[in-house]
Amino acid sequence: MICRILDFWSNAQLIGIALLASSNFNWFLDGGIVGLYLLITMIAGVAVRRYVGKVEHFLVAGREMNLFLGIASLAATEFGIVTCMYTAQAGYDQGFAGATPGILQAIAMLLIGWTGFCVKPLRDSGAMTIPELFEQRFGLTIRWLSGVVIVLGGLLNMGVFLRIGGEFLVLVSGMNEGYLVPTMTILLIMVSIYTILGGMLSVLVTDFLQFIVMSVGMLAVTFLILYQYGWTSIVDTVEKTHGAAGFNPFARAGGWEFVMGQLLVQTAATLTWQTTIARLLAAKDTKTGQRVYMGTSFFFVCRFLIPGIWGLTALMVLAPSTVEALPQALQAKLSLSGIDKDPAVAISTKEAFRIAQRSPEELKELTLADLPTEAKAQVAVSELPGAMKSSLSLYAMPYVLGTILPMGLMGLLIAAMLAADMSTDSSYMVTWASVIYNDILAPFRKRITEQRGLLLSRMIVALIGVFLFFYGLFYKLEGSLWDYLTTTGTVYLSSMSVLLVACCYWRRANNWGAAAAIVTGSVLPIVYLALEQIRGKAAMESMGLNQDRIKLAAFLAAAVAMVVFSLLKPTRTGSVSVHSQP
Amino acid sequence: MEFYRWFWTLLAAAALLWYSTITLYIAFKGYADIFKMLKVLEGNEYSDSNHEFDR
Repeated sequence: MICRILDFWSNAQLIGIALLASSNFNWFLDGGIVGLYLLITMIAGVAVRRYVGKVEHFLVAGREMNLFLGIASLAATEFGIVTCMYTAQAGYDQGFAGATPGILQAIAMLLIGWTGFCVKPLRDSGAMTIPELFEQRFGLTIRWLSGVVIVLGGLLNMGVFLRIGGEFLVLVSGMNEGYLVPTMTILLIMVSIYTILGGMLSVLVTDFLQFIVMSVGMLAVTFLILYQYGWTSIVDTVEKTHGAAGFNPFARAGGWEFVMGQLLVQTAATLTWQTTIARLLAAKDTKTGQRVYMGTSFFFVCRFLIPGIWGLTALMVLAPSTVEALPQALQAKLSLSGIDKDPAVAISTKEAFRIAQRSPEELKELTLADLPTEAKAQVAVSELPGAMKSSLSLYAMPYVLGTILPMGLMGLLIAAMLAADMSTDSSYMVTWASVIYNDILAPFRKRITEQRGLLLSRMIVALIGVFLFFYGLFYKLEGSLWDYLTTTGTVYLSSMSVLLVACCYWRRANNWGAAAAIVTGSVLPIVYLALEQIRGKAAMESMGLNQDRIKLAAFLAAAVAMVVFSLLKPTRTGSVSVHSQP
Repeated sequence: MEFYRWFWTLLAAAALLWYSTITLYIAFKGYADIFKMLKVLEGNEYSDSNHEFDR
């Protein structure tokens, strides 16, 4: 066994050094740091399984979560590798203005935590999920329908996490791309083991450890970047590349649409995003839940701004103007090796970044046999310039970090990002499982013992893991990662936020309005995403449709549908709001 | 432009300062929260395990 592990490390190291690596990752020092982190996390995650005796322990940690554990858990959950990638991409593409969604969510979270808007009646109701609260007001059908929409939007959203996480790790560590699927699989298996065994309890305990590792790693990398490049250079790069639009979100084309769309999405996410709400519902009381919201609010600025600084550093080191010249330079370098004479050869975008860094002497020795099998996978050499430009903003940050961070810090970064990713994946698995178990399966499980309920919940978590694996393998991301996440999130954020506000504060709201809001709020983003996959992003934009407009339209349509259809239903005397219920 | 440069500079400084402080603070306080939570759950461990779960 030990020999096999050594063989694996040895092979990976050889491939990393001899073929591709421009990364500073050292398999012994950095690999040791990562291995130690993984070992401690697994032990802690599995150890708490003995405290899980009931479904309530598994899904909401017995509602015994206190303030500081709640802040750590919420922060760790809401920051994964995928977050790091899209916030860095936003920094690269939009400058500091890319951090606007973080500021909006921080304001929303502070105000909602302070006033208790919607979250107080939700926590006071004793529900384990939002659809459970809806049943009290709109009936069982709406509870079931809400559960379906929440799970659909949530799983589509989460579907890309595993692949993006694997891509980040492969790129930063300089591994062969052939290790992407094994990396995704190992990551998923580790997360699944402790999540299936310990549920929300394991999630909370590992989230705490992961918050510490993630924060230390993120801060260390950021301070090193600032020390190495200087803050003024970063700000100057933004001004030079993006001008005023790099600082002020309203200065860009469609700025108001972007800010309004983000304001709605971030407020709705704070109110109804199941992984966020799960912390409120797991809190030991309503006041603690509200304090968790207030205490975590400023983290959402950090969540966008700190990786945004990494993206800005990538912009400084690997600017679009540099990259425009890169394909030509790459073609010239490939000509030295003679590889480009073979028409069968194609090189993936990410490999191209690495090959471009090689010296002419090294390239002369490069042969077809040296290229990884999957180098044929994505892009032909002739199509390289366009492909590199389109994926540059997403992959520039991990590529640049992989080359500028020294040994030791590289291990800390990877441990931090693994921590971030594992905490997000585990928490998302439990929270979507809680909706499937608690709401979608509610009509089908009439009388069930705690032990069977626990087994069922664990099986659902395992099935979500299987879904993640296959979706991550086969879905091809088009356009901005952040746009994909917010649009899939809008599938349920638009309707659920309208339902929640109406459920808590509008006495005339009823099941007609709720059903209409769910349908209208989810249909628009789903149709848009499908059309974008079929016709392409450019074709949609030529028709005047973009993701910001679809988000605004979905929220508006859901609100109008709720009001119109609620008023259309004949009124009955004695309808009550959630406030008036015990 | 100068205003925006200062705004983002101060916000980034505040974010790094706040994040460094809260990480240290949470590291100590969160640890205590975990033990408190597990202790309470351990006390409830042997309570009814076969009651109907449906609400």
